[in-house]
Amino acid sequence: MKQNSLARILVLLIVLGLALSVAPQADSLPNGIIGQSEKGCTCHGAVPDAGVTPSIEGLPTTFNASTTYTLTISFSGGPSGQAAEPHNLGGFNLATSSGILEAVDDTVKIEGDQATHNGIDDDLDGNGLQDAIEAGGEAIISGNDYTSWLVNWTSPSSGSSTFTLAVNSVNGDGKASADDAWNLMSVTVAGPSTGAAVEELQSADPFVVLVTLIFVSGILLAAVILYTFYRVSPDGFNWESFAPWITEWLTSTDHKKVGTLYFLAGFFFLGVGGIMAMLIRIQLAVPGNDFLTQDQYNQFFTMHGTTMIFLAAMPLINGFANWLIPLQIGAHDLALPRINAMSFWLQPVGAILIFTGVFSGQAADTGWTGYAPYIVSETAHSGTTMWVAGQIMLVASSTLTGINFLTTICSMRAPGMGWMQMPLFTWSIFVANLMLFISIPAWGVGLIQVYLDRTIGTAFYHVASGGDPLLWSHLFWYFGHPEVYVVILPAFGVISEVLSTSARRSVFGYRSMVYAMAGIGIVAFIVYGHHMFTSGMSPTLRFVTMLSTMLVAVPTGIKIFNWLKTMHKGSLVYRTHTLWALGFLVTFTLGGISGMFFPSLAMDTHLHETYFVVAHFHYVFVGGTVFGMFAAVYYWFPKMSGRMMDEKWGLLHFLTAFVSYNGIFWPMHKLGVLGMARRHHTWFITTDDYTNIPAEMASWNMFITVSAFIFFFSNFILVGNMVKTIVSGEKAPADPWGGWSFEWMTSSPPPTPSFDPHNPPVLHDANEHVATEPTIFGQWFESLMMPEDETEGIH
Amino acid sequence: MSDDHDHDYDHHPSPWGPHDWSHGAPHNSFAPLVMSIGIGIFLYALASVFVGGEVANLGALSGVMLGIIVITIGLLIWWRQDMSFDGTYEPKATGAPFRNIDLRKIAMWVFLMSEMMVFTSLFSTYIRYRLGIPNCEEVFLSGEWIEGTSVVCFEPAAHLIASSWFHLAPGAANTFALIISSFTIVLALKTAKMSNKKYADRYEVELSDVHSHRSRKVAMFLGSTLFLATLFLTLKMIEWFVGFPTPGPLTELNHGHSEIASLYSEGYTIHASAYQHHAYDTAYHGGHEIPHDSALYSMMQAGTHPGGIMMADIRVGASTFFVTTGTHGMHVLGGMIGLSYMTFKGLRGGYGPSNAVSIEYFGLYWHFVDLVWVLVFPFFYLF
Amino acid sequence: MGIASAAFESLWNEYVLWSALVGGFTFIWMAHHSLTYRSKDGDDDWVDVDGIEVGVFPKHNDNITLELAWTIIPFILIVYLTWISWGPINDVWADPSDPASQYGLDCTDPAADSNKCHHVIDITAQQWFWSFDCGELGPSLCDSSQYQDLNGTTVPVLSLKEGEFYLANLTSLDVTHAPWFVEFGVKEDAVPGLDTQVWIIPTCEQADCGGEEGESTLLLCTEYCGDDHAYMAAIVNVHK
Repeated sequence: MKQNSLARILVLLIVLGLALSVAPQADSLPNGIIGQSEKGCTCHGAVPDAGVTPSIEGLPTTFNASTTYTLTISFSGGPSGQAAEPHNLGGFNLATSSGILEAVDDTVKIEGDQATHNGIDDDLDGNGLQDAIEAGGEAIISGNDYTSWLVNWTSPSSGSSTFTLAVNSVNGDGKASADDAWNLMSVTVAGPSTGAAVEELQSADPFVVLVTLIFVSGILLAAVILYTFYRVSPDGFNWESFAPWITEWLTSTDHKKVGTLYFLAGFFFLGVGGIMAMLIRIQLAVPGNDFLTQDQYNQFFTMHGTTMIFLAAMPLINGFANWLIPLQIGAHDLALPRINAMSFWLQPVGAILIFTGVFSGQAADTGWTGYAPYIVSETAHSGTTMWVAGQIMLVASSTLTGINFLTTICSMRAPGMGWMQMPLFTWSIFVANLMLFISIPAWGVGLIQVYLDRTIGTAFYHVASGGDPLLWSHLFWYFGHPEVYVVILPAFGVISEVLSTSARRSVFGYRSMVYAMAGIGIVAFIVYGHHMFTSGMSPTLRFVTMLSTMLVAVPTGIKIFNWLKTMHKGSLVYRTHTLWALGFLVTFTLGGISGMFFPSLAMDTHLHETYFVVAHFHYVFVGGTVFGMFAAVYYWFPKMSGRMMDEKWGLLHFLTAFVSYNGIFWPMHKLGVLGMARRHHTWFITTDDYTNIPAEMASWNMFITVSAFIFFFSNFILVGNMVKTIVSGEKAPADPWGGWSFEWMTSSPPPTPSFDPHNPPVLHDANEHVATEPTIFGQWFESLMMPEDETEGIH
Repeated sequence: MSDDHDHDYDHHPSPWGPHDWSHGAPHNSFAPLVMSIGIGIFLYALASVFVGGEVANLGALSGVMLGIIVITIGLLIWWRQDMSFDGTYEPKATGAPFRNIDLRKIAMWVFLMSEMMVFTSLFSTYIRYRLGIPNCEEVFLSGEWIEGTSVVCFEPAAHLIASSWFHLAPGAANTFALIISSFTIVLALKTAKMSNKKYADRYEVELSDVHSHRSRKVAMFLGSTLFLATLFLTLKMIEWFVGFPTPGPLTELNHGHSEIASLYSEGYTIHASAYQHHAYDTAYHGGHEIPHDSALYSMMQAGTHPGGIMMADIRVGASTFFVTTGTHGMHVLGGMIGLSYMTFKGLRGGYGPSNAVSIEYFGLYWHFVDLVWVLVFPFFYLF
Repeated sequence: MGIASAAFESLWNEYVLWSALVGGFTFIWMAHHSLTYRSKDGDDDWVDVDGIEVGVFPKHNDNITLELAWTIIPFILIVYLTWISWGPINDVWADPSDPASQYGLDCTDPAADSNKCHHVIDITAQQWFWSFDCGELGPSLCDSSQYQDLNGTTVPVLSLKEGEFYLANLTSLDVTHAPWFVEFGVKEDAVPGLDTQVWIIPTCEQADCGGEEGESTLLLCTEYCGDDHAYMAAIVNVHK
């Protein structure tokens, strides 16, 4: 009883603490909700300067409905005071959130709904003197020869109006340069507060949308958890029963519970990342869109990438690894259960750190690759430091995971299971974790360097002091490339399991599958330079990397052909997981092929940083890893939950998701080649003045956006299926699909401990002539080991 | 052996500890959750205290303290579960190639592999910058500088530290301290593994007293290791920030200086963008004449260089030095935290031959830390 | 109008051809097997070829000849694709101080061959605009004095002559940027603290010099550099 109330209090505190830490900060107004002319006056190459003072005169304190006011826009300060003649002194851009602007004289023009100065280029030969005067004529007066202008504003019938004024102070030479200076101001005027007026609809700030959706998802998650608890014990739906139940989940070190926690986190963030993707796609649906400001867009694509890779893909993979590795090798749990729980809990706390920026509107905007020196520059957002801190926690989490799985797989296999008798999923997790925990500390060091640069002010990436941006690139990609193989290899393992079970055959070429994975694991470390072909890295390194990258296609190809041959003379049964595995074969092959274009250096110089890259990596990430995870869900969910999923819903999910997914990413190949760059807030179409993406090709962006929405919502079919299954699915037998590995020996769901540690299962082998002794390599390795001391006597 | 704190832990081991290890590793523990939350608070608060190289909000130090406290609570929970560990559950590996080796030992080796990657990356950074940025001494002697304008150059800490035996003293003492501490940890292990009979004979103790006597002796060795580690960090702090006075009679040997300046007081800091040192003063140059074959000398003779004291931006060199040696120091600190727990457990009679191997795991880590120092010391302090 | 450059296009076409062949081969194989080897009557009617049984490692299913075949044949294809990619590398990274390279020496260098020499221009990147410096080159070879409106931003215009070789020295004053000459298919990072270079070979196939379509080509920034990264563009004109 006493323990129960203590647990209760602690749980309350933790929940409160988590809630508080997640609550929006006091200063939650994002910098950047300015509305239209977010671009300010960078148009003129000027630098922001507080010495330039803009002003708007003539605004009433409260406006009357539908009245015209004459406003005087002016500025003082800045380099315009140094101009020798009253020419090329400055410019302005005035935007208002409501009401209509009109010009009073020729010095002002209205563009769309904004007012700006009317300027003529009166110095075509660029020598600082007006051409007209040089030709002996009269000086031309143009709108940019002034420092004040008149604008008429007709007020709306109600509401309030916010004016945003950007002014540019030019030093008279007519050249855009950093000698010019600009500043922004914003003022709001309220209108008549009569109740009868119609409220104008304000468009929702995308950040508010995102944060709201995150909260909604969190509430949904909590609701699901409570509902599950209710179903588990309908009579015990009270605090006395809840506290131990939730405590069990918060403190468990059992690999199955930790695996489930990883799934919850992974699916939650898959949704959040998807929401961000939807917002990005709305912005990119049409050219010149301003649904998101640049500032917001940059944060969104950064957080989308970070969330999807580190908070969705890796946890989902870890979820399956946690659940299945002990089961597949016949162990009762992982080697280090408490450290395993530690690996998990570092993730949600790290995620909170990463997301603090989202709640304050100053999320990291560096791209998930976080290149130096931007990441340590002052122009990067303040949330970047928290992003780095959260990533450091995730690095710790991954390192601990790697240690745990490596130790477990090396040392806890059941009798009869030599290295060449492990299921291929186990092999894939082994190679993936080996790559992960060797590569991630390098990035961890880079992150610590950036964290220290941004906090205490070390100079690792401070260019003026000799810091080298390429150092970050090397440290990052030394991790970054193995990382992408870390996320794809488990999908390979899943596909091997799923296809072989569906076809009722053992995987074709087991040994070469193992060697191919090992080969990929090793080659991964020497190809990372292919992300740096245009970076100014030494040409020799670039060339070597080209060769090694081309080579990596060979083991990958071997695996694909082996999978296809597995179906030969099989009896393929089509279940949802089968469909996803075949879908994976299509999309991953396409993704792998598109990847082959990059190591060809002369093509890389065109394709790098375009949507061709985006298409490629989404084909291998989503079409590879995520589809592999979907196949894994349909394959192993019955084992984990004890209930069978609905195959009809599964088919519907597959059809809608697979088709819409290709609709999203296939057109991106062409868009990239034609000139659509990635990480761009908006894109350009061919006009009379210049060539870029043809307008008819550009409309594919709208098609992509629509497909994205279909894909996003189609995945709710899967979520719904999982919930429905837990609630009312048919009971699952131990081995619904006819698999051979140990997890199919246990009940569905498996008991705890999964196997009796003193009586593990024994793996038999259907092959004749099975080696019972280790190979020469194994024997040599064993001879290096020192046997344990026989203790001199126990007490 | 069995604890009688909780009456219902037989069927329900508490997630707060203590734990009955005959059942295997703990199935439930609050430690991971609490430690993660603590680390999150710590990193968050630390980034609020320091922003952009300056102290932005000293008040956030309370957050840093809170983070450390929460981490400590988590660690205490962990240790509470571990305290009763007496070797009854120490699984060994099955199958090639680690057959019959303790699982936790394999895990420790694997962990050390990843730690090696950490230090490799730090060394890579150091080598890249050391070889890529011109050395301050070379820049000085090339004459390509003018008094009052900061030049970018790499100033290795060794230039200051290896300049005299006195400066080197803390570093050398630290090296000995760590090497001896590796020895004391081995002594702790050896003592813990000694069988009852052998121990009773050796130390002339009654058989019934052996366990507690041996455990306390182990605690003594562990405590010595802890002491030496503390000495290491103390000397490091003195070397970095405090400096120390020259012992009276040896002042003559120290060029008449009565004090050995700390790195901080010599201006060797991560913010040193305008570093000036008497070694780069044409009037002094560390008390030696400027080499006649240097460009600077020729320029000064020809009158094309006015001489003076060179101002340098040495931030990158200082950053690599402090962060690399600092990371090593953090690892020593981690070891100290582990040693505190182990010493405490030893004093409570927790170590004997059945669980002596726990000390071996720590010993592996500690030897690794020592090995890293043996590499750091020449690369950063001598060369 | 071609994409990027002639070298790019020929490589592209070759790669697309082989991709189509490999992809087609894979998908036809997959379609065939996934249809032909379906189980006839569901779960219970299947021939146990490999001894699939729970707790038993199944019989090996391999064929060394086939495995070698699809190791060696793709390897040969890879070698071939690498080999054809080799040559065009010279286009991208010719050594500017090598008189024997296809772009020769700097035209202002007295040792340069006037029929095969290159012009040096400077491109400076900063947040968030480009600056072009034609140096001593005359206006017919290089002009950087104009500005143009591009979707609401004013961007600099660089005018180059077709058929000439240009070497651009890239520097950055703050963070890393990268100019992408979209229609010429070249880009290189402008890294602060590092001097990088990129070869620009404007032709009228790519730029449609004064033709029906938009006669100007775009230069876009392709290394993320902050807020106005998307607007950090320039116009590149090519004239005869």
